[in-house]
Amino acid sequence: MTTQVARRWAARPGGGPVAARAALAGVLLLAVAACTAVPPDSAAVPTPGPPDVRQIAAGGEPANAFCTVRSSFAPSGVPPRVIRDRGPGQGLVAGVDPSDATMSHWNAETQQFEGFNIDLLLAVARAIWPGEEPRKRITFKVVPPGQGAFEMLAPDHPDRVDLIATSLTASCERAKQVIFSNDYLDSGQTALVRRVDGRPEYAGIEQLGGRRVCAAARTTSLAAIAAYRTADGTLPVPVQAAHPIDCLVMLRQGQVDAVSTDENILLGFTRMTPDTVLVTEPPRDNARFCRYHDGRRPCTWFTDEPHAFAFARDNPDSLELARFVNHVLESIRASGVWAAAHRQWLADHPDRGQPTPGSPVTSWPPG
Amino acid sequence: MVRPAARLLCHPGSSPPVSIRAGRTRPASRRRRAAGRTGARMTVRVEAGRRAETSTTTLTRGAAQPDRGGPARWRDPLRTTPARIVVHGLLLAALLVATAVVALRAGGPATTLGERSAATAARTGTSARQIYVGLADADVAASAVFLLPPGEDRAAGLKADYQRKIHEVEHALNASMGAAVDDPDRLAKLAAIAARLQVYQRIIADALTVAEGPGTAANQGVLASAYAREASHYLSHQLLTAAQTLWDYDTRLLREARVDARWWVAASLLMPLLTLAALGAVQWWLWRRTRRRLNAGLLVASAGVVAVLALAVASWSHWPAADSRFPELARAVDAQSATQQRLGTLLAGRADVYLGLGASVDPVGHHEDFDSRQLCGGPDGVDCATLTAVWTARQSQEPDAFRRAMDAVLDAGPAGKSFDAATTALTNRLDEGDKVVAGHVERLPATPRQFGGLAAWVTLLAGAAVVVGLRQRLAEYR
Repeated sequence: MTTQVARRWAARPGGGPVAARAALAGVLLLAVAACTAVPPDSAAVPTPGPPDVRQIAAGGEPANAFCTVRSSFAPSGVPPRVIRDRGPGQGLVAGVDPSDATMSHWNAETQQFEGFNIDLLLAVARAIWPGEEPRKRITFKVVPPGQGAFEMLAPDHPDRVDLIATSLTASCERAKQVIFSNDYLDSGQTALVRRVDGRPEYAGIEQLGGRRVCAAARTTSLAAIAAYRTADGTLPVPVQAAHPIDCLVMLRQGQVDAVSTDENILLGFTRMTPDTVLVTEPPRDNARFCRYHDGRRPCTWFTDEPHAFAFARDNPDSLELARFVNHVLESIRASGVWAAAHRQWLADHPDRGQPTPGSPVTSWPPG
Repeated sequence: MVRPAARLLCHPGSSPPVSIRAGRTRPASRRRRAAGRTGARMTVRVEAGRRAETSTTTLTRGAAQPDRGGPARWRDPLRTTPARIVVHGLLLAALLVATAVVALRAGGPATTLGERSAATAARTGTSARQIYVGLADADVAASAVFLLPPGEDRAAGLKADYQRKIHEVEHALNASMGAAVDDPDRLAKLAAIAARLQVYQRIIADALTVAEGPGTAANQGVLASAYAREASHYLSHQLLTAAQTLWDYDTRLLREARVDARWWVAASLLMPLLTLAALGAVQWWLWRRTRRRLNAGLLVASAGVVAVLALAVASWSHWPAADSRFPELARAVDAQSATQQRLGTLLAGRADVYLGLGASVDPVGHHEDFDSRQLCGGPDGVDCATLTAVWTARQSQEPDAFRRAMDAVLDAGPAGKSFDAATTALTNRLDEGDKVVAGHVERLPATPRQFGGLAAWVTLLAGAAVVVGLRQRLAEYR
C-alpha cells in the first residue's frame, strides 16, 4: 500500500523521488496516527423491560377453531378423603396467580389472598372442613399463569398443589393434560389499551393489526393473539411476558400497544390504572363468542373462555377432589356465595351469571 | 544462484587451470579435487555469472553497455539488481515503520508499569467500586420500599433510605465524571451508568406513584411490585453490568499491565534488532556487488536504529523491578474484584428476599434467584435459617406470619441483622483489600522518561537515510 502510493506519487507529472518520499512520510504518519486512535465508546441506553419478555411469531390456529370444555365429572358430595384427613395446619393446597386483581391477588394490608377465585376456594375448604376457619385449611401457592402451572400438579413436584385456580380457560387441548371442574365463570378475550383523551387509543382488536399486543406466556390468550387476523389481513405482533401484570407495566411504558387476555382479568387492570381502558369496538364476526355475554355493552370478546379449576389427570384422589368441587360449585349457586363473590369482585364483568354445567362425563378427556 | 555464462574447455596442460567466478580466483587444486570426485577429466572452466550485472566485469561496463548476461528469455526483470534494490528498500521501510509504531505504542504499556499510573488506576478503581456497591445497595432499599403498604409507619423511612442511597450514587458518579474529563473512554462509561440510573429511577418513581396513588392497597401493591421487579431486573442486568465494566476498565491496568507489557518490551527491543540485522544484510549484499564500498545511507540508518534501541532500553529500564512486583498487585486486585462481586451478589440476594416477600407475582422465581446466588453460611454468608419462614409467609395459614416475616427481614430482625453482618464483613474486607493494593502500588518502580516519540522520529530519519542511500546506488545503474 505504502509502495503503491509512493509510486503513484512518483508517476505524477512533476512527481519524482522527492514526491515519493513525501508520500511515504505522509503514509507513515497516517499509519502511526491510525495505530494510536481510540474508538469511541457506545453509550446507548437500553430500554427497561420485565424479565423474560420476547416477541413471538404471528400465525397459527385460527381463534374460532379453539375448542372449549364445559363438562366435567358428575358432582359428588363425598369430601376427598386424602385431603380431608390431612392434619391441623395442613389442608387444601391451591395454586393461584397473585397478579390477578379481581380473582386472586395478595393484599398486603390484610396480609392474605383475596379475589373471586379465593372466595370459591374458601367455600370448598368450608365444605371439606365444616366448622373450621377455612383460611387455616388452605395453603395458597403462587403458580405461573396458563398451562405453565400444570407441572405443579405432579405428585412428585416439590411445590405440589392439589388444584389450580388461575383464571384458567378450559380448552380441549389442555384437557389432554389435566381434569377440569365444571365451568364457574364465562368470559372472553378482549384488549386493554392506553386511554387518550378519555377514549381508547385503539377502538378495537381490528385496529391492532401490526401493533404489539402482549399476553402471558403459555396461555390461550397468547395463542389467540398469535392467530388473530384483522379484516384487512394484517396480524397483531404477539409479545409474551411471564405474567399478565408485566404486560400492564409494558403498556404504560409504551413498550406494547395493548394487553390482551380475559376480560375478568383486564377489569382488574383498569381498576389499578385509570390511564388504561378496555377497547369498545366489537371484532367482526364474533357473535359465536358472545353467547355468554350479558349484552349490557357491546361485546368485544373474540374468544370463548369458560373458566374452570384444574386437577391432575390419572389420579383417583384428584378425580375425587374434582367431583367434590363440582358439588361445591352447585351448592354455592343455591347458597348465593357465588353471586356474592361476583358482586364483590366482578360486578362490572358482562357475564350471564354462574354457568350451568354441561352433561356429566364418565371418561376424560370428554368426547 | 550463480550460473555459468560460458564455459571454456581446455586440454590438460595447455593452460593453468583457473576458475573465475564473480571476480574471484579459486585455486586449481580445489577444482581438481572436485573433478576427481566426479571422475571428470581436468578442465579449465571460466565461469562468468549469469547475472553479469552483479559481477565486477559487468559493473565496470554497465554504464556504457547494457548487460545482456545471456539470452533475453532467461532474464527476469524482477530479479535485476535495480529491482532488488527497490525490494530491499521496501523491506527496510516496512521494518522501520514497524519499529517506529512499536516505539510509539510501547509508551503506554511502559507507563502503566509505573507507580504513579498504578496509583491512579487504584484510585479510580475504588471510585468505580463505590458506584457498583452503591447501586446494589440502592436496589435493596428500593425493594424494601414496596415491602410495606404505603400507610405503614416504616414505609416513609424506607423510602427516605432509598432516596438517600440514590443520592450517594449520584454524588459518586458526579465526582467520578468530574475527575474523568481527560479520559473520554471512562467518561463515556460513567455517562452510560448515569443514563441507566435515570431509567432505573424513573421506573421506581412510577412504582411509587402507583403505590401511593388512588385505589385499594391490594391493587397498588401488585402493580407497584411489578414495577419494582422490573427495576431490579434492569439494575441487575444493565446497571450493575455497566458498573462492573467500569471497574474492569479502571483496574485492567493493574490486572493486565504486566502481561501487556511483556509483549511490548519484547517488541520494543526485538524490532530495532531485527531492523539492524536487515540493514546489515542489505549493506553486506551491496558491499559485495560494489567495489567493496559501504553505503553511507545505510550506515546512517544503522546508527539511527542503534540509537532507537538505546532509547527503548532506557524507556523500559523499570521492567525488571515491575515484572517481579506486579503479580502480587494483580492478585490483590483480583481478590478485590471477587469480594466486590460477592458483596454485589449479597445485596442482590437481599433484594430477592424483599421482592419475594412483597407483593411480587413471582415469589418462587425470587426464591430460586436467591438460592442460585449461594449466599447461605460461611464467614461472609447469611444465616438462611432466619429466612425459612420468610419464603413461605404468604402461603402460611397463620394470620401474623407475614408481619413476622417483614419484621425478620428488616434491619432489626434476625434475617436483616444477618444480612447486615455479612455486608459489614465484606465491606471491611474490601477496605482491607484497598490498603493491600495501595501497599503493592507503593512498591512499584517509578516510570522512567519515555522516549517513544523521539525514537519514532529517529526511525523516520533512518528511513530517509535508507531512501537516500539506496537511491544513490540505484542512480549508478542508470
